[in-house]
Amino acid sequence: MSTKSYREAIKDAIAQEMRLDDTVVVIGEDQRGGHGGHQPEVEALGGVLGVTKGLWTEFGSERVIDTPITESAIIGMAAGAAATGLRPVAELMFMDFFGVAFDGIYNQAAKFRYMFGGKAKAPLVVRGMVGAGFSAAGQHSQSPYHIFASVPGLKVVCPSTPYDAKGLLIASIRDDDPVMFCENKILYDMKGEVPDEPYTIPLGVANYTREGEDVTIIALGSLVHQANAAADRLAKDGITCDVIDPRTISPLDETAILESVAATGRVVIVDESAARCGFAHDVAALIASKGFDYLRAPIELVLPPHTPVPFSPALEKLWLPDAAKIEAAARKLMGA
Amino acid sequence: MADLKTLEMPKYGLSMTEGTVANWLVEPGQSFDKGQEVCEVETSKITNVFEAPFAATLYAVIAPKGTVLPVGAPMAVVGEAGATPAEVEAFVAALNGAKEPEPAVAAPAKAEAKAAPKAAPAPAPKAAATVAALAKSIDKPVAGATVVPAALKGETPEGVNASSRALRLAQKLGINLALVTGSGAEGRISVEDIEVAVRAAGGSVAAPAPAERAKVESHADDSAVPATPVARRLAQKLGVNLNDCRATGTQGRVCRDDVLLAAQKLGKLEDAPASVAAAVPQPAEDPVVTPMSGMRRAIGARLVQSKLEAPHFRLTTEIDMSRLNALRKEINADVPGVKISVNDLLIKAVAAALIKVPDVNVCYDAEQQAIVRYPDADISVAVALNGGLITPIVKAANRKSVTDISKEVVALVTKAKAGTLQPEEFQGGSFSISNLGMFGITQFDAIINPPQGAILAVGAAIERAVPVKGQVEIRPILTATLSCDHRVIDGALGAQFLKELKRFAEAPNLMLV
Repeated sequence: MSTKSYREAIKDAIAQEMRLDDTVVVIGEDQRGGHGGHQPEVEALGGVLGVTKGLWTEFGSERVIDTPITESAIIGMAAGAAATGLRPVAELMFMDFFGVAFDGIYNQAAKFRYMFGGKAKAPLVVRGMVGAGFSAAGQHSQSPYHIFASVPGLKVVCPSTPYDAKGLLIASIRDDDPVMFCENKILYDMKGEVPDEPYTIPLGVANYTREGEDVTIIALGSLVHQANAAADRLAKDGITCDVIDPRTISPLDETAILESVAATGRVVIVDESAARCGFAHDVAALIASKGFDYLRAPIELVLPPHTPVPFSPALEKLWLPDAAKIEAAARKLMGA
Repeated sequence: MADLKTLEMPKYGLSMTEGTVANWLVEPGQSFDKGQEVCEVETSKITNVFEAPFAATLYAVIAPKGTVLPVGAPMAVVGEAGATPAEVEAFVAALNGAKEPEPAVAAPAKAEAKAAPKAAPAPAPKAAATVAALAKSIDKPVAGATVVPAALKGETPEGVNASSRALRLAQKLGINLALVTGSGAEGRISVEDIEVAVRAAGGSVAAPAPAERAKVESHADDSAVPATPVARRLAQKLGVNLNDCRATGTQGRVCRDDVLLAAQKLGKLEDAPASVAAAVPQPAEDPVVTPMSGMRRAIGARLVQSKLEAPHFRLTTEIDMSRLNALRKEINADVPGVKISVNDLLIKAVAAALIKVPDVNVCYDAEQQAIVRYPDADISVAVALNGGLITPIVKAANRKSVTDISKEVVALVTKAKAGTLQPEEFQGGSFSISNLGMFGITQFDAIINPPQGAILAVGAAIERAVPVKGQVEIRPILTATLSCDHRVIDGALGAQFLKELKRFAEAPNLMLV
């Protein structure tokens, strides 16, 4: 066990899997380049935020494949490699760029196993950054995981801590289905205890980060920490909360959510993916259809407005759900 | 040391959660063979005989006759021959200890607890006391309590795969999750799995408390909500948001009553002006709910069957009662000790008409698809009772004198009200009369009493001006309506019967010839 950042935990997971399994390869932009291209003696950049820094040095160009800025080629290559027996970990840099590469993901990789009657599979992981709060403006701040989760055949993971990131990424690499691994960019420098040896966290198992009896707060990624902060503040006033981090959106741990709602009867769902048709709405529909009788109050959604993410830091702060908004929603449910 | 076991409350159907020990067929101390009937168990649906799953000796009855037990709870202590009373007592004590109820478990009803020691037979008096205590502790728990069977008790070891809520519940109830099978991904144990395990081991799980209705108020702008001006003003006065009101007014508008109801629900009327509060419709007292008695259910079933299956048609006639009334007066004046009623005479007239038109004196035999015609007029007379009605039968009324009929009717009505009618006194009959004349009902129609072919509904005799030989005279006129089952009686036939009835009633001397 040692203290590692979210970024280091992810690199740790990839490196350990590459050592264990020769079929694991990394594909992406700037994996090797950045600092002078073909100069082996120069440390490679390791992606735009340096997550995979060091992998090229250890595994070489055969297994750490540098690509031009061409998302459709990255995904096409990864999907094909996966179908022919490799376990690629492709990096899309920002998940916002899925638009130029989505055919390979949603119309090819996600369909292989089903349409070829189980004879083909696509064990690939697509890593990418999501999340606002980095002043990266409208095209580099989105969280399109709700779009991925709507595609059958794709698994969607959103880790919120270094520990979860490592365990979930190893589970994702070992999974035989395509996994969209959504890393929240403002968590990269978050530190936490991470075991040194490889371990997995099963996909589809939620984590309760706080336990309480009055309100259930459901959040993903960086918002889990906002929800925890809200829960801690509420606890001082005697309002205790279950904070649920589903960790994977698809598959979704419905049991963990419904069990908590059954006990509290009050739900706040926090999300930054979308103000319409997003992750929060999906969970709200789950609760309304399978847990209606448990509810003591309407489901509260804490969501950004239905606009692109603003560039202005002040506006972006206003745009993002935060602990204060979550706390207010919970208090509203308690009638306080 | 003899091997002792328990006999447990069986589960006869998927829906069975508890059963009543209806009767013990084996005495304590007696041996029984495998398959022998040991006791009777009553469920909400059936009474079943519990057959011994193995041969043994019955040592102690834990659940005396009448005890309600959850499925799987021990009913008796049994074992191979040769167990000493001390051994039995020790076994029961062990069971008792294991069953030590949770603090959350409600105490058994006091009456049952008192009854138990008396009713529990056991080989040794000391054991009997312990058995009674056990019977007490496993007596029917108060609905809603959670009872965890001893088999599941314990501490959950590290590393059991369970959901967060399941872990917390297990800790609260003192359940060892290692004994529970998980149904989730990778064998994860959910709250539901715990509930299933508790029920399977014979315990019970409290129903979740129903969520209280939260008083949720809207704060959105309600200026665009369609509302009547009065409603809008009142809403402003009471601080009610129009979004919280139902719109029952015209053109889909919120009206005054909607605002008042919403204000009441949101508890905003307390500090409202008295004049406003008084206008709120207060819910009346709760309606009284009485389960249907057996008689009501029988009436319901039979009459629904009649209405659904028998194609009813109705014929109405008016009968001039002057001569029948006169005859009644004469008989009552001339015969000492006799007080016949108009009804008695009508029964006699109906009997005479039935003999004259025998095809109305019939029943419909659905099974044989046949019409059964009776030689005698067995007339069922509808008698109103508290909470129901019954139709005792005046048998062979055609062959009885009016005084006999009168005496018989009095006797039958008395028995009916006392509830002592014998089945043969109210089952059968070939024709029914229902008389509501005493209540001033002038005319009504009755539902045929199946499988009979017809029923006569008799109204009150009302004095009316009727033309008699060109003169207007005041005569008591009774309206009688015959309901016929068209499967066995046609219109002309029914009309013919009514014509004969009218003839006999208007000229009662015809009944004598």
